[in-house]
Amino acid sequence: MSHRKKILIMKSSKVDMRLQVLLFLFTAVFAVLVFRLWTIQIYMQDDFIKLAERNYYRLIPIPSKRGTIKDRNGNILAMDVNYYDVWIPIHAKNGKRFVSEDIKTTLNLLSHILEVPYEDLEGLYRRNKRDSYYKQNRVCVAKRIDKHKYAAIVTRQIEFPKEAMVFTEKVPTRWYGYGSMAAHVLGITGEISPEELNLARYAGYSQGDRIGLRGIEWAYEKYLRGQDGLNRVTVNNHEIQQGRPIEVKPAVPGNDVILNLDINLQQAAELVLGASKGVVIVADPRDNSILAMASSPRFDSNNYSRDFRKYYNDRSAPLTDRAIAGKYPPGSVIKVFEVFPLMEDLRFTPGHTEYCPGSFSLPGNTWRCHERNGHGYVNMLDAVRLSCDVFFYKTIDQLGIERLFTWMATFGLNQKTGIDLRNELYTPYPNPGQKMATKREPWYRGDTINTSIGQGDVSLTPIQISTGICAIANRGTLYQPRVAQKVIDPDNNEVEVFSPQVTGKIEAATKTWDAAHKAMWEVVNGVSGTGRRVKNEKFVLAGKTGTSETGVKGKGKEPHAWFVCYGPYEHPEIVITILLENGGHGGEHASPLAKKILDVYLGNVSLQNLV
Amino acid sequence: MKNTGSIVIGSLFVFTLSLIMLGLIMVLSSSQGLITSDSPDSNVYEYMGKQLMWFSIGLAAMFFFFSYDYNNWERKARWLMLISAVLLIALFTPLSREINYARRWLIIFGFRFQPSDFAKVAIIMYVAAVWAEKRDQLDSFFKAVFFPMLFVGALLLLIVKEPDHGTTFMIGMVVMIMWFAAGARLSHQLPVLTFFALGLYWGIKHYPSLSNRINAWLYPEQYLDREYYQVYQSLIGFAHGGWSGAGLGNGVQQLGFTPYPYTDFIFSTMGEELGFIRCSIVLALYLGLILSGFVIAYRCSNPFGRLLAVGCTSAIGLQAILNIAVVTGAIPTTGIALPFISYGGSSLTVSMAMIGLLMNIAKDSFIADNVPVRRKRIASRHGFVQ
Repeated sequence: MSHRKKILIMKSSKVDMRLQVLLFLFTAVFAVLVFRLWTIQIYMQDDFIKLAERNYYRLIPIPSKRGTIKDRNGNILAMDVNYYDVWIPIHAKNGKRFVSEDIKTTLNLLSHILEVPYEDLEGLYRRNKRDSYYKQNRVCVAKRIDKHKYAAIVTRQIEFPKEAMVFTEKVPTRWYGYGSMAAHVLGITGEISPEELNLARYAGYSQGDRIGLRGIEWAYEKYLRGQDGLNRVTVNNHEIQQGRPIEVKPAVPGNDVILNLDINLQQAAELVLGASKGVVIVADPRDNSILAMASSPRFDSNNYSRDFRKYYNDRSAPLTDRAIAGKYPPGSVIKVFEVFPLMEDLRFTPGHTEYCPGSFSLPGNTWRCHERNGHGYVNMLDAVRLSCDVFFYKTIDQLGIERLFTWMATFGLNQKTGIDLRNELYTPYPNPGQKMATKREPWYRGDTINTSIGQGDVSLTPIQISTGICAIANRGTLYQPRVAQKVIDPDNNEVEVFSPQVTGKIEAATKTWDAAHKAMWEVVNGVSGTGRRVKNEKFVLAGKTGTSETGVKGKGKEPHAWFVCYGPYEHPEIVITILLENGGHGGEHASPLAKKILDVYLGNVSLQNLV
Repeated sequence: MKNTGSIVIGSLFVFTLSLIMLGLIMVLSSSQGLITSDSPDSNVYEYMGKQLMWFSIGLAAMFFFFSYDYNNWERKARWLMLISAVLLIALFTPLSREINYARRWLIIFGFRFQPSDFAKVAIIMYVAAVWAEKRDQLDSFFKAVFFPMLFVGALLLLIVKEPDHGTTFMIGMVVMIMWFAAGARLSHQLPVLTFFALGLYWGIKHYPSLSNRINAWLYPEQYLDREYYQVYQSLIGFAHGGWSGAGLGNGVQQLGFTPYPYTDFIFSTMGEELGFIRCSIVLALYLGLILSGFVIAYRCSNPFGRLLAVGCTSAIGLQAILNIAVVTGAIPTTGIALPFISYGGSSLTVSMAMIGLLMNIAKDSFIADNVPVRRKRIASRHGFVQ
């Protein structure tokens, strides 16, 4: 055996050993890899699965349609219209956004379709916040585009680069077909606030949900609200949906609310009010359903959130619904109600006569009648017709505040009417107990005198007056005013019909009712009645004017003008309540509006020719 | 003896074909998400079809290397090294196109192939030839090791410049393993390994892309959206697979969450669709391949053949290990394809060629043992006279 062969053999055994070492190492490494696989596939599986679901499942809400609000004739007052938000993916390098070629192409196309300058879109792309709701890597570049532009985007979808594909998201938006019409009654919708989320009323709501904030939208929230659906979809890394949704929970549309409102009357009411501050309420005395309820000034429901600051800071308070939250001294209007205690408690007849010298004096104070020269001898019907103050000073002084208060409370003037709207207010009707509690002063005889003509601390909302007049017109039943008539589901089945709610009964003799009606008839139809301007031969009205002092003298501080009336006289079917804030005299300024509304109600005048 | 040889050659062939078949299926399955989401009109079988074409080319290469006596490569290795150098330099000419910020592919007659794959084989053959020839001078660093290392180092430098750090690292490791197998003195090898590590450290310091990968591996949560994203998605895929997998084509990760699910990260798709048990079987197939390779090396009495067998086996084994370790998040990303399975033509062809080479070595050593003439011829070539 040669020397070289020896070396080979020696080397070979060393090499053999090294091959074994290498094979052992390879085997060991493979064992480690199997262990590693086991760790991630079995041992830590659940941890990664959670990450995985976040990865490729998306719960995409399907926005539901909120119910429509219609008037009694089926005219749509508020409905959901679909608008669309446009999103594009974010292209970023090292965490910084940049405009890649694809993004540029997409933005160019969008600027062409949406008719928005390219620079604006690029600015939005750079500045706008990343999608925080779905946690997706995209940014919104156009909000609330209409269906035409949406259609243009969809039809041209294929032209967008794949890496910068546009996403459109349906955003149902409230649309008020008549703009600011009945804005206070219909109300508006908005996003639920964190505080509201904690309320029991909003159990089951979540952040970002739309709720009714005022008016009917608020009051009938539970009917109007639909239930959002959910799509569980698989997406790829570009957030593009793969195949069909794995799971679908369809959206349930909300129910429609049919109102008692009649848009013709509502428009008439708003037209006659014009720019002046005031309220017009048209109600049906048979069940106190509200046919029209206008409060001026109004806000534009469609741009409420945009202009909210402006409205909020406006000193004429367009956001306040004066019909239910505006409190005014009723003035002489209250005299109609005072007929009842006088006849029921003091056993007066309609012919009961007092002498009006033009003023009434108590030790230390004198109260004037609005007729400085005095009315002379007036009976009760004359007192109402001419609105004689002295008659009521004397008789109510005789009646006393306790009995007056009891009767006024019977007419619902010491409580909220309970109308189906939000934020109704009321002030307690003045009485000794309440005065002591709030002012820590005893009740003086002079207070009764002030109260007797609806001044002093008397402060009522137009809806309280309207409700009380309805009770007089229907001879004794106090109903809760109702704006909504019924709720129907999308298939036109009745879900709920709101029957009239009786909140009180007024017990009085027939001759008392007759006297009160006669007195109101006299106001409109009698000789030199304060409401003679609305006299109508065919549709006989009965009413009462009111001119209430605001307690503030000076220019621009005119008294509030009131006019209430019902008709037709024999079988009342309509009650019109008008208040003009600082509008002047009831008979002179307020009552002509009632005539115009009545013309529209009777179909004598079309809306176009009204003003 | 003939029997053992047939078993080894047969099992090599069976293991290889099983892996390739599985690879074809997985390429088909994992390219679905890509096709449906990015180009709805493209052919579902596009990627698998191309891979099938490369498979037939690989089969031809395999049979060529199986039938061509490997001893011939011993003299040709230097020339192959030179050709590799030329091809690698050609990468920096307009013959190559930059893809994903790297120039790794040459495009000749419409075919895309990676010169580094070719260089890998050339280097293995060259190193095996040199150290087989100088096997009795291995104790001297400068006589046997220094010059070949310089030559290899020059090629590796070209590969680093592409840049392809993963392949450079992998070939470097293969050379180290071959040196160890050839009988290196540990007092030589350890300093060289230290030098190797220092070079790696320097590279990490100077290439942000490398240091980012390391940092992403060390602090995954900070790099979820960037360097670690792929691995993170890959891990989710594995977890989704569980014991038995989601079933072929049911993987959700390949819907684009795992980038390139059909190339470097194909094993992640396998984890998701096939599950832990079947993936372990795949690992066992690789281990079986490595075992066969080492048996061949062990039984080969020809030093060149032995080193060549060690080189080819460890190249395939190391690639599999590096790839799987990366996709399971065990080591930072390297960009090494999974041999036989990942989509990619030159990788498949070269891997199959190496298997052909191994089979040829096996045929030679097992069968030649019974053929005195051949044995004599081999012996005489190496200067033994019997």
